[in-house]
Amino acid sequence: MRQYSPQVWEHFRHPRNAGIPVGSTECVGRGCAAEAGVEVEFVAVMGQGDILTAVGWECLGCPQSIASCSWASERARQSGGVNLPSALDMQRALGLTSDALSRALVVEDALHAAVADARKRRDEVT
Amino acid sequence: MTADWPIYLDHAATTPLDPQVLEAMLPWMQSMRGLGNPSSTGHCYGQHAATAVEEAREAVAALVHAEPAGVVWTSGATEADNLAVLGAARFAGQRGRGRHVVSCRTEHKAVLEPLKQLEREGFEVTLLQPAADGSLTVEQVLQALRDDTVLVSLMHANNETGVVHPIAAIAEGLRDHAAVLHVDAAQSAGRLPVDVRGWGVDLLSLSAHKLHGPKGVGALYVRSRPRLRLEPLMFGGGQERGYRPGTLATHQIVGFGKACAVAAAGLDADAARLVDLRDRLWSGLARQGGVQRNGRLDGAPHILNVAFVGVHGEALEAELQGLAISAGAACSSAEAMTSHVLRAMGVADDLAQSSFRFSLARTTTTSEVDRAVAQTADALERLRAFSPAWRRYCETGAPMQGGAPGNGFSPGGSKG
Ligand SMILES: Cc1ncc(COP(=O)(O)O)c(C=O)c1O
Repeated sequence: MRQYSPQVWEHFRHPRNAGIPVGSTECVGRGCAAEAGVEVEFVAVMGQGDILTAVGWECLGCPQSIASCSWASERARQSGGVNLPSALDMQRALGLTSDALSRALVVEDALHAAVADARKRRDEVT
Repeated sequence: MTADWPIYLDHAATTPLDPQVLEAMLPWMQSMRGLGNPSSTGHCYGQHAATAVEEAREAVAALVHAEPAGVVWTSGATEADNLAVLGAARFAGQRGRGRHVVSCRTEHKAVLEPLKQLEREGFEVTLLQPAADGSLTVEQVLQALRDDTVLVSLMHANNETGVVHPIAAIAEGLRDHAAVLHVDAAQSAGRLPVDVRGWGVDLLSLSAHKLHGPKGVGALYVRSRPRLRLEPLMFGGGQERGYRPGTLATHQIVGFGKACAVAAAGLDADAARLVDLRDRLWSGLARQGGVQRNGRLDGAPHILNVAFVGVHGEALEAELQGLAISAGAACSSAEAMTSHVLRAMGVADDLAQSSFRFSLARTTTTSEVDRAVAQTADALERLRAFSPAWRRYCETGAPMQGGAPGNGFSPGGSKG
């Protein structure tokens, strides 16, 4: 059995913003690390003034990947989508092992792509 | 066990020592009663120990229907496998009888690694490819034979999947061939009937700690009539007909003998109970949907290997802290750690990665099985709630790639 940091355990056991918000599936960002069996989908909803109003995610992955999704979604929501966390932020905040960085990058990719997608769609509408 | 320790369902790895075995062993660890060297039969200390060793030899031989004279004590099944594979092949190779060996990709590492060593020594090894359910046919084995085949090494019950090879029929097919048949019965002895003489097996590996005996002792059965000869791995005082020199560990051997006697007495009843428990476990897990049984329905009674669709093996393992089970690939890198057995059966990497072996013993209770099902169900529900792979699986109702048909694949909640 692997050892995980307390922060990873906390987010793994109590993931924040897990699941895809209903009716927002069009603003999706995906990331995948097939060799590690990790797959991540983020959904973001942008409101007025470039503010992230909702975020959700799904993850097929190890505890560190799931914790990264949870923590990153919480950070993105709290900052209103202004400062999106990077994989290195996730590693620092959660105490990820060095081999988990590639999986945090998958989370970063998915989150950033979802927010970019949401912005683009909002711009197309306005 | 201690109240907060996990439920132990890893009996294919090792089993708890039977209290009767412990009781039998204790006198042999006492200073005077257990003192004698079984080879020093010139005085009563040694004679006393030698008698105990010979009684144990009879008990071990009786469990697998072999002649006691064929039993060679070893440190376990790993050593027995090494002695059998290296010893038989080298003996034949050195006498110009041939340098070809047949085995299977799903064998234990204790056979596969010595086979690699034989390759380094110039032997040619044919590793048979099992079917998707892990099975091997007699025809496959016979077709692989050549005139220069000197050894066929096949396990009885597989330690990861419980799949049973048709040893009796294979032995029958080999009757007119000069090749020696070695069988690793570490998982089957004490759980399935093993009939060395009836089947015509030449070499058979056993391990005490797999059947409620002590760790660190096992045996290689070496056919004594007509005498089968092996190249020994070690050289020394000539004990065990020269196959395995070194002072015998009386307490370990006595424990192994007692474990075999207890197993033989309860064999049929224990096996029937294990089948019931295993089937109860399987139907409970299958009820969760999206589970695949790796192996066959008619395998060894104590092993159930299950792949769970739509979850990552490492996450499921972390969720199942309350269960001591064995992960198919307890590692985030599928490449590095996927089980060679599941891989040989063609199980897709994602499923192999979320495969777990549950293994039971006569000490396992119905309540333990039910709690294991409940804990697994909770873990699956939690992890699948946010799994994109599970959502896709539910939308399409289709098995993930690699789900071998006909081995218990159970889509969306059907009973196995
Ligand atoms: C089929 C099989 N062969 C060999 C072994 C090795 O046995 P031992 O631990 O006695 O060396 C095991 C157990 O790991 C096994 O399951």
